[in-house]
Amino acid sequence: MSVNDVAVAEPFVPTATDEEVELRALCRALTLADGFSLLFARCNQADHRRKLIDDVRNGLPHLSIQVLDLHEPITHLLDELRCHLKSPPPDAVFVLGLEYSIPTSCDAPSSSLVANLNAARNSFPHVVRCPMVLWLPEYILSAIARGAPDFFSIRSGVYYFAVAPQDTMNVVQSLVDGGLMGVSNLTLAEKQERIESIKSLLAEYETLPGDKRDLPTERRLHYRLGLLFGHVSSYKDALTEFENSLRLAEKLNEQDAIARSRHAIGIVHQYRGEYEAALEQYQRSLAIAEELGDRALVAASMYQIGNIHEDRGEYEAALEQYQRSLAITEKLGDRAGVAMSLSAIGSIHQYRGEYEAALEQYQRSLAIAEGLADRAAVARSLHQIGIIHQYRGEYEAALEQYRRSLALKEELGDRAGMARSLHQIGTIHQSRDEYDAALEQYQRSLAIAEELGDRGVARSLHQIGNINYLRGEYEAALEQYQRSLAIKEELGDRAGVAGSLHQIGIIHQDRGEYEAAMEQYQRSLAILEELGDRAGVALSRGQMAKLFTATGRYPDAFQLLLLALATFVELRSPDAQIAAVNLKKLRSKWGEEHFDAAWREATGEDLPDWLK
Amino acid sequence: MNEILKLVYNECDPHEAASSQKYLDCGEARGDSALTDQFLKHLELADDYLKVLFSGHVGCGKSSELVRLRDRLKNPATSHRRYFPILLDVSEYLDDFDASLTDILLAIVTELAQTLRDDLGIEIKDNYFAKQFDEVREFLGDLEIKEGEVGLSWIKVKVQRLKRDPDARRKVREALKPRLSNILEEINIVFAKARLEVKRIGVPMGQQPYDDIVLILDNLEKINTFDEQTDSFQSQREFFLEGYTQLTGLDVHVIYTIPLRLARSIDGPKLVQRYDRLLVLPMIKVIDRDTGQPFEAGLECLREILEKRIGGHPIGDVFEPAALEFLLKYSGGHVRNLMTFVQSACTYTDETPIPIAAAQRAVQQSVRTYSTAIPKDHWNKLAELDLSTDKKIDNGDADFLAMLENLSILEYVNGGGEGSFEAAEPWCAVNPVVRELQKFKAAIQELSTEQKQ
Repeated sequence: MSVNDVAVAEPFVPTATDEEVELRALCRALTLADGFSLLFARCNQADHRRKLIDDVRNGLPHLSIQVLDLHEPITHLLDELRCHLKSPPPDAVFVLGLEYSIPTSCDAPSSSLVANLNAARNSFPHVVRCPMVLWLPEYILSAIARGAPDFFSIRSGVYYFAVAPQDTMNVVQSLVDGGLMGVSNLTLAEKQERIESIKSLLAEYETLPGDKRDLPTERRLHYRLGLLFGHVSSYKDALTEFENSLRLAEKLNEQDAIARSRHAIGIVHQYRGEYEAALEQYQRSLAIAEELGDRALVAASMYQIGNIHEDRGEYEAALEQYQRSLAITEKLGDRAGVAMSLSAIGSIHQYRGEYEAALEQYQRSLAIAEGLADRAAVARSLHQIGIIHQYRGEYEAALEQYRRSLALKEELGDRAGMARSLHQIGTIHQSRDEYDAALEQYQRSLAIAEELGDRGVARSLHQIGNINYLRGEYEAALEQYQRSLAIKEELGDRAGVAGSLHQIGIIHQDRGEYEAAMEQYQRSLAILEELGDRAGVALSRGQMAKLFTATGRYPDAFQLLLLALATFVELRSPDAQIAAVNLKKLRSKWGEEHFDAAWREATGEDLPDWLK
Repeated sequence: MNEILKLVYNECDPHEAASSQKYLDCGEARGDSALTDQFLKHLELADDYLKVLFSGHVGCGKSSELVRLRDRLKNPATSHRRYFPILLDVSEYLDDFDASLTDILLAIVTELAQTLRDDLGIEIKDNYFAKQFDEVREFLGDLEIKEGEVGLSWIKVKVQRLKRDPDARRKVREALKPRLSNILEEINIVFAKARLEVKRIGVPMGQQPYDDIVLILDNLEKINTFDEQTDSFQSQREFFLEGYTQLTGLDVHVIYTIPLRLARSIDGPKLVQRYDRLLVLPMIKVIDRDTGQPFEAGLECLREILEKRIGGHPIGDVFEPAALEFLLKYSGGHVRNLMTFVQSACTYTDETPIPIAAAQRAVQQSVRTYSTAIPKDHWNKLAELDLSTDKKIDNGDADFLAMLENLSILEYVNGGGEGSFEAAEPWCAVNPVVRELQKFKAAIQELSTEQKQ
C-alpha cells in the first residue's frame, strides 16, 4: 500500500498541498478522460505554472497537449477555442493567461469572460473533445466559482499547486523586498497584481494549522500589502493591513517591526488629516527607533513629524525637523531620504516666498530622484517646480511640469497626487480666465479627493468657489468658501483658513458689507503674518487697500498699497502689476496733488512715470 | 491502466444529462414526486395553456428531469394522453450570456419547425417567418428563399450559425426588435398550424394520437443578462417578471427553466401568480431536517444512481465502503457534486476499490475551493441557518440567494405526500463540506456563546 493510500487523519484541516500527489492526480485525469473533461489547476505564480506544465508533459510524453497561451484580453473563451483548437484535435488542451482578461478581482465575477463561460457551458463538450485544463491564479478560480456556477459545477476536479516552502520564502522575499521605492515604482496594474498575489499568499498562510503558522512572514506580507494599498490611495485598507502588521509584531515582540508599523499607521492618519493621531504614532515610533539605534527610522520619523508641523503652518518647527532628518540621511548615504528632505525644505522656503531657494532645493531633489529612477519622487518634484513657475507667472512652463507629473502619477496609480496636479492645472486655467476649463479640472480633482477622503477636498471647494465668484455667482461662491473653511478649520489648516476668510471677505465687500469684509480681512491677515507668508500678507493688504479706497480712507489705502507693492516687486510676482494699477486708481480718486505728496513723503522721490 | 477506473471516470461525468438508462426516479428521496408526475397531473387538469416555471440548484438534475418528461409525454403510461414535446435547449442557439426575447422567439420557431420535420415528417409552411428570415438573410449567410409559401425546417442550421457571430446576432436582433409584438402573434399562428398538423397526423396501430404540443425551454436560467442590462439578477427578474405577458402570451403549454435564486427571492410568490405553477426540483435528502441524522432512502438513491453508471460492476469492487459512505455524505445529495467527487477520487489512486484516502483528497478539493470562494459576510449567516430549528432562509436577503447559487446552502423538501394536508415544504441546510470548515466552526462557536448570554 503506497503512502497515498493512508487515510488522512484530519481531512478537513487544509494542509499544504503535496505537489507531487496533485501532479500525479492531474496526469491520471488526463489519461483517464475520454472526451471532454473540465479541469482546473490553481497556481498563483506564472513561472510556477509553466514549470508544472513542463512536468506534466514530461510525465506524459505520449500525449499531444496543445497549450493556448493567451496574451491579450478576451471575452469568450469558447470562441477562442473554436478558432485555435488544432485539427485533428489534441489529447488535451491547456489554457493559460486568463489573467489578462481579468486583471483584478473586484469585478471579476461579473466580467464578460466569466458570464460567457456560464452561458456557453453546454457547448464546451461539443467544441472541445478532450480534457481541458484551465491554469489560473486563486482569484480567477474564485471569480469563476462565484460568477459562473453552472460552468464551475461541471468540473471533474480542481488541483491545487501552492508554492513549495523554500520557494515560498523566495517569493515572499521578492514580494517583500525592494524597500519603499520598489513598491512605489510599479505601474498601477502591477501594483494591483501584487496586491492579489499577496492576498492569495496570505490566505494560504492563514490556513496553515495552528502549530505551523508562520507569523513573521505573515507580518511582512501584511506590511507590504499596506504599502501597496497606500500607494494606490486605498487608505482604509492600508490602515487595516498596517494594524494587522502591528498586532503580529507585538505578538512576536519585534521592536523594529512595531516601530515601522506605527510609522506607517501614522502616515495613513496624516493622509486623512488626523494629525493628532499621526503625531502620536510618529512619536512612539521615534522613541523605539532611538532606543534601537535605528538611524534610518529616526530620520524618517523626524521627516514625518516635520510634515505635521508643516500641515499646521508651524514652519520653523517643520524646517528644524527636516534639517535634522537631512543630516542623518546624508550621513547614512540614503539618497531617497535626502531627496525627500530637500523637497520638504524647499516647500518651507516656498511658503515664505523664498522662491529662488525653493526652486534650488526642488531641482536638487529632482536630480537625485532621476538618478535613482524613483518615479514617485520625480512626480513630486515636477509638481513642486511647477508651482514655483506658476508663482512667477510662467504659466506655460508650469503647465508642462504639472502635466508631466500628472502622467507619471496616473501610471503609478497615485490618485491623491493626481488630484493635486489636476487642481494646479485648474488654477492656471483660472489665471488665464479659462473658467470652464478650470472648473472641469477642479471638479475632477474634487471627485478624487472626496472618494479618498483626502484633505484636498477643501482646496477644490475653494477653487470652485473662485470660479463661481469670477462668474458673478456670489451665493454659490459663498457657499463653497464656507464649506471649504469648515473643513480647513477642522484640519487645523491655518493657511487654508486664511485663504477662505480672505475670499469670504471679498464677497462681503462686493455686497457693500464693508464692516463684515474688513473683519474677515483682518482675521486673515493676522494668520498670514503669523505664518510668515509674505505673498499672502501682501495680497491681503492689497485687498484691504481696495476696501479703504472704496470707503474714502485714502491715506490708509496708500500705506497698504505701498507695502504690498514693495513685497510683490521683491518676490517678482505678477501681482505687482495689479498693485500698480490700484495705486493709479487711488491717485485719480484721491487727487494727484495729495497722492504725489504722500509719495514723496514715503519714498523721498518724485513720482515715477509708470504711475502717471 | 485500471479499466474500471477509466470506465467509472467517464460514466460519472458531471456535464451530461442522464440518459434514460442512467435516470433514476428519486421522488421519495427528494421528498416530492418528481417534476414529471406533477406536470402531467397539472396537464390533465388544465383547461388553458399551462405556463410552468421549473427550477432547482445548479446541477441537481433539471436537464435529466426534462429529458425524462419529454420521453414520458411522448410515450405515456396507458390511459394517459399523449403529447408532442418540443425540447428546446436554449444553449444550442445562444452561447452568449446576453440574450433577448427576440433571440428566444426565433429559436422557438426554428426548433418547432425542425422537430416536427424530423420526428413527424411535418413541414410547417409560413409566409411571415419566411419573410422575416428573408429580410435578415444577409446576416444569416447564404440563405435561399423560394417564392411562395416556404418550409422553415432548414432554418435551424442557419440560425445556429448566429451563435458564432455576435455582430450578426446583434444585427438580426435590431432588425427584428420593432416587430416583436407581430412576431408573437405570428408565432401563435405557427403554433396553431403545428397543433393542427400534429393532431391530424396518422399514428401506427396501437398508439394514441397526439393531443397537443408541449414546449420545454431548458437552460434559460443560464442566461446571465437579457437585453444588454448590466445587473444579472435584475435583468433576470425583469425578463421573467416584467416580461411575463410575452412569455405567457404563447398559445402553447410551456415550461421555462428559471434560476433558483429568482424562484426563492421575495418575488417568488409574484412569479407564481403570473405563471401557473412554479416547480422546484429539490436535492436528494441525505439528512433528516429535524434530527440531523442520515436519511437512508436518500443515501440508497444516490448509491443506486452510481450503480447505474459503473457498467455492471458490483459497487463493492469500485469503492471501499468507507470511501463510498464518505463521498455520499459529503455530496449533500447533490448528484453533480457526487459525480465530481467520484471523478477526482479516481485520479488519486491507481487501484480499485477506490480507497478512503482518495475519497478524502477528492473532497479536500472542495474544501479548498469553499474556504476561499465564500465571502466573509456569509459565515455568520451560514452559522445562523445551521443553528436554527426551522431551517428557513430569508428570501429578501441577497446573500442567502447567492449562497443558494454557489451551493454553500442546499435546498431540500419535506414532502407533503399523497393525501396529507401539508404542502411540500422547502428547507435549507448548510453544505456538509462547508460545515467542516474552520471558519464555519468558528462562526458557530461565536454564535452559540452569544445565544447563551
